[in-house]
This record gives sequence, structure tokens and C-alpha cells, in this order.
Amino acid sequence: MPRYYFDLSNGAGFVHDPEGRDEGNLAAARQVAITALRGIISSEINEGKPVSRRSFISVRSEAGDEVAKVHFQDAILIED
Amino acid sequence: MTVDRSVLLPYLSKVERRRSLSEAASAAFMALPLEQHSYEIYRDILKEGDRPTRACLILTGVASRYSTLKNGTQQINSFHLAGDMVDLNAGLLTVSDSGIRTHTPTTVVTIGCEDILDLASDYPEWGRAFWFDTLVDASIFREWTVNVGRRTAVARVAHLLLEFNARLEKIGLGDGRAFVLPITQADLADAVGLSAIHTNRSIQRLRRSGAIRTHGRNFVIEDYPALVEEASFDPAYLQPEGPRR
Repeated sequence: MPRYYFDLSNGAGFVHDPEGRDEGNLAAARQVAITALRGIISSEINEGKPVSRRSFISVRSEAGDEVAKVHFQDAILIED
Repeated sequence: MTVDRSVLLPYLSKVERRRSLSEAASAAFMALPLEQHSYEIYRDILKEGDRPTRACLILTGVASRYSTLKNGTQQINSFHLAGDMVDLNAGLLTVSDSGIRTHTPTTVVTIGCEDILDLASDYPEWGRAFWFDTLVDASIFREWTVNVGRRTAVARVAHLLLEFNARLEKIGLGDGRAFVLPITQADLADAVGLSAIHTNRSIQRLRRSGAIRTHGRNFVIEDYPALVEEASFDPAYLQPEGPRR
């Protein structure tokens, strides 16, 4: 299985993924990023911290290329 | 394969540090029939739903107890280090509710469930020692329930790091401030109920606050009181005082 790396940009901060994880394909890796971004944003909400609409997770391949980018609006559904 | 019985000595001395045993009781323990097994990383010692027939004592390495959900995600329920008797439950529980998996190359010796039950009924001091061991496991499980149920992401990670720090120090694999985390960040994530990415960010938060310093899997606690405060860590749940008698 290919290995993917998930770097988080959250407001001002950047968190590099040193380990990566094996996923069956890019769609599965994208889903991992969506689930993670939801978890991070929900704990910010629970802790009363500001949430950045510019948050995203960049998914990289083993070679280091960005193969997907999951944005705030890909993870969070907002209805008026 | 005959097993060198001296591998039992660290566990025996752990039990005797808590409360001394009669000579007959130590001798009976040292005479237990043993099997030794070595596992590579990420191998199941016991699968969920198995009917175990033997309990195991970790000689070297790290194992976890884990539960798998229908969607494939896993929750790690506890970690077990060298010198820990992992599955005393098997003595009385016929079906394993959770699996046991290695996180590093791991060597164990196993003891038959019937032998454990016989030892406990022949020597009540062993019955108490095994009872105490399972109560410590239960105490740790309760603390972990609090951890995943009620603490913030950063506090959960801080708490587990402090637990590793305390337990590794106790077996001579740390000095109470610095240790090598024996698991990956993905495993850490499965133990605190967060994604690996969220766990990674929580570690970065702790690093930025100055509470810890990391280099790969090397962790140094720079500000112990701050980390303890962040985690609301009280090592009493590890039951360092030992049994009442």
C-alpha cells in the first residue's frame, strides 16, 4: 500500500507529518485528512478556541509531491 | 524448547517488592511450565474473540490491548511493557474481549491458565499478587477512560507521555525526565482516541509551550510541573504503594 503524509496548516501554525501512514489509495488518504480536519476543528470549537476557515491538510506522496489538499470547506458542512 | 527459568526473576522480584513471598511460593512459581515465543512488530499475541489457554509475561518489547470497531478503526486500551503479566484475565475469562498486539519485536513466556489457577489456590499469596496485578490494570483502564472521555487533545497526549515516562523509568528504560517513546505516533493516536494528525499537532503544542523537547522518538520533559498541570496527571492510579498486604 502506498504511504501518504499529512501536513496540517491551521491558521498561523504548520504541523509536519514525520511518519505518514499506509492507505489503499488516494481516496482513502483524502478521507483520512477529512476525518482528521473535522476532529481538530471540533476540538477547537469544544475548547472555545478560534477556528480558521483557512485550515487545510496537504496530502503528500512518498516522493514528497502534494497529491491532494483538503480544505476547511471540504470537511465542514455549513447550512444557513 | 526448554526455557531459561531465570526470565521469571524480574516478575518475581516485582511481586516480592510489593510483598515478600514464602520460599515454597517462590519455588512453585519458578517451577511453572513455560513456553517462550518471539514476535515481530505488529503481530497478534492474542486475537479478539480468541479462547486463550495461556497468560503471558513480557520479557522484552511492548504490547497493547486493543479493540477493533466495525469500520476498521481501533482503540488501544492499554500498553504493556517488559515485566508486565499481560493476560492474567485469561486465568478466569474464557473469551478474550480484546486483542493483544506487539508494537516492537517482543519476546514473551506463557504460563498455562490451569497452572495459574492452581498456583493461586495452592498459595493464597499468589492469588493476592495476581489479583493485585489485575486491579492495577483496571486502575489504569479507568484513568484511560477519563483520558479519552474528558480531557482535551493536548491533555490526553500529555497524560500518556507522562504514563510512559513513569512506567519506563520503573523498568530502568528512562530516568524520569527522558525516554524513547516505544510506539509510533499513529499508535499513540489510537490510544488517545485522536487522529494521528491531531496527535502530532498536540505534541507540537507541547513542544512549543516548552513542556517537552523531542527528536524523533526521543522525548525529554523540560518542564515537568507544567506537563503534569496540562495533563492533570496524578501517578496514584499506577498504584505505586503496592497492595494492602
